[in-house]
Amino acid sequence: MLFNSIQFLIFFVAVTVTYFIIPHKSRWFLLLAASCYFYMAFVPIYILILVGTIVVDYYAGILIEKQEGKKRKLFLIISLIANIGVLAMFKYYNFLNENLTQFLGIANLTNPIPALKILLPIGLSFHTFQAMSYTIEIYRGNQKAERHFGIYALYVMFYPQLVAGPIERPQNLLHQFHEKHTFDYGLMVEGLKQMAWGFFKKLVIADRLALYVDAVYGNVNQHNGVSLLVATFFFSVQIYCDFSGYSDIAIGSAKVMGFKLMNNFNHPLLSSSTSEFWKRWHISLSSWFKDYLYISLGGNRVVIPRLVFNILIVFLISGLWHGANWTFVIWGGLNGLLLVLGYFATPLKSKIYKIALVAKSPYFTRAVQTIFTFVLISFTRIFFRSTDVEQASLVISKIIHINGPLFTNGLIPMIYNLAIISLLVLIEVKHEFFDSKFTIFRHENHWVQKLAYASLIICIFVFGVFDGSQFIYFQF
Amino acid sequence: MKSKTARYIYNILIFIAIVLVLDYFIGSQLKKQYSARSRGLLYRTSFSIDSTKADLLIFGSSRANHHYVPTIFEDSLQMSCYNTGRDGCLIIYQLAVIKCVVARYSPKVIILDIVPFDFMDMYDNYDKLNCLLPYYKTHPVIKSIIKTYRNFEDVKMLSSIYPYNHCIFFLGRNRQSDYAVELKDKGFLNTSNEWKQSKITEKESKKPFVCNSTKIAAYKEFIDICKKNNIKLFVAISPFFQNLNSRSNKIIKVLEDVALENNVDFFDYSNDTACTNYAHLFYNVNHLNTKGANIYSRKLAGKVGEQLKSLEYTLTNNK
Repeated sequence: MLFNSIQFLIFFVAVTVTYFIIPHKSRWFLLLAASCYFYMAFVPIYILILVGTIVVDYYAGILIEKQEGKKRKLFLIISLIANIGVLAMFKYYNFLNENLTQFLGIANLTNPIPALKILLPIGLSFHTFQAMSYTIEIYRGNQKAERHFGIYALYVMFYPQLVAGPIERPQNLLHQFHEKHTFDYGLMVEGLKQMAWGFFKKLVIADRLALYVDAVYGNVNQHNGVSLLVATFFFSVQIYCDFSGYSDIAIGSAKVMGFKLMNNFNHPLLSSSTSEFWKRWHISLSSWFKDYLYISLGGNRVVIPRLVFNILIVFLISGLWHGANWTFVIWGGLNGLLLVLGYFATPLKSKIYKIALVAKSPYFTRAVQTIFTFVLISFTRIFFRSTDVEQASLVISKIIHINGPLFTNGLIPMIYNLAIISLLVLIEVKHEFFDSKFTIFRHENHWVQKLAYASLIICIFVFGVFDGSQFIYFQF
Repeated sequence: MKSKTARYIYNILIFIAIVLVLDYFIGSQLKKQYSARSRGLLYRTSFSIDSTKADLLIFGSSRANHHYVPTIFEDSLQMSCYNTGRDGCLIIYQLAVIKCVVARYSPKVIILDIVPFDFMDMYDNYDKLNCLLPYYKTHPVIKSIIKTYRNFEDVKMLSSIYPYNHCIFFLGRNRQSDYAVELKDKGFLNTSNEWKQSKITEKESKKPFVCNSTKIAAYKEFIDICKKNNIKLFVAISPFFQNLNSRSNKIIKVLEDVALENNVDFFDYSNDTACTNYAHLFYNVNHLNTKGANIYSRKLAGKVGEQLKSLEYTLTNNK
């Protein structure tokens, strides 16, 4: 069930209303049943995978808490193997097998291992990581094991964030299922407003830009460097609005029922460096990697070669987390490399800014840095968007040998795309720098607020794309 | 407590009322704009569904729009012709249009231009049926087709804006003088640009070959409608400036077999060297330019004319 469908709106209203009608002690069951239904709307049989890992992690959590010494580690390892094993089987098996076939092919050998004809379970990487954070936190002593099986299952399966995050931590989410949420009108309105913004970003910005991006990236051979460059920049904005739109709908729909999910984005388009970008983009995943991998590897408190290794390994794994394709591995590697270069280039950058005298104007400096960061991040996105490395190379080569007229689906759609991106930038700048000004959507006069949000919804009706397109991050 | 609840409900109802009023007002304006079109994509769709009375109709996607020159068919076959092609709209759309057409009259001849990838298993473009939404409430045939392929359309149609949302960028400009151009072109789209790059080969797919059974069923239904209404149907695949992969060729074979089983003439010009050897006859790998369209239309019109003669299907005989 997609968030941008009528089915979801009916489902959401039905679940929310029932949630507040029934007594607190039955609510966990309602949410769990609703989450199962939500998940089974994709590929019903795959719920068994979820059930399997939930059972393993539930008992692993209890055993880790009960045991002491090496046994605790043993149960943690069992839990991690179960989770990573499922990921490996469903997400990476065919990828590894294909690469083995190619490798053996060099030596004229055939690969006897057959490929699996399986579909990737939706949101697998998200709920697997969320489940892993549970057992790790118990092992670290930061979280008590959940004794209520249904509530633990709900922690993994809570429908708003089941298929594309935010990837929650048990300390933030688990206790909320035990707490009694009474209907809060203010919270409901706040949640609905956030959902409206999510729909706006997804349907009015991301899906409109997708029409151009898909047309160009769908036929890379036919398009020139100018069109590919524009499509690459558009894709950067598209993926932001697509994913942050999803997160807003998820956070908003949870908020309506009184749940507080963690924030996943903090205006990443305004980042002035790649390291800042990764603190603002997909925060729940970045912080997951930081907490459970980067710091475990030693973090910053190591010698420089080891630091470089730590950064690169985290980003390569992060790339692989996104998809079983070399394009994602390269994308991750490039981002790691940018972070390393950024680390070493900081003194050099200051000198350049001083020489260019831009440092005298902090706004100008910030603008230059932001644009530069956006260009770098967009460049890495070529690998993210391309179907294979060959296509990504072709895109880069065409962009380097830039020539030819810009492809448009018509002048008006192109003007619209540019206008909507400008509007997005203005909104982001307003939130970042002038949060208390121009508050039409938080105006004290409730009529102004109502009209503002009604206009937002009408904008969605008028300019939204209602073709039921997937969210980009659902595939991960 | 009660007064609080009442206030909440009042606030929600007021908000919904504002949205509904705005939706109705803007939707009505969009409807007006849509109906007033006298040129372009939207006009051509309305004309195809509601007005054309041409003897020969051409059905297809943008490839039909760009590849079939009605005036050439008219001159060659001595019958009136209109090109109902629409960009990105494939067999399901064409099925909806022919159902609307035969509800009004029976054309004498139809040429259906098909695109192999439309019939591939994974190619699901039912969202393109959006372009039929303005006719949802007025054409029961269209309503039933849309409801066959999509859910909750009755709920979505509660919004007055929704039927026109897909064409929001096409509703702006509308000059009366354009109408003359539209009448002259009869659905054909002129393109003078020339393709500069060399011929490519469509990538082979690793996925197993499976036809989209829904689309094949629609294709068969299209053929049945023509049979029932005594319309002479020709199925054609116009030229591509790319070598099609084995999967596309397999689909072409399936489509050809269906046509032949139903005694329908099937012309596969997908790799016709009269066009496909020359980049300057195309404006991209999937579309001929006007020069190419003239060559292709003459060739096909000749072939269709031969078939019609042999079947004594000329206009005079038919009368």
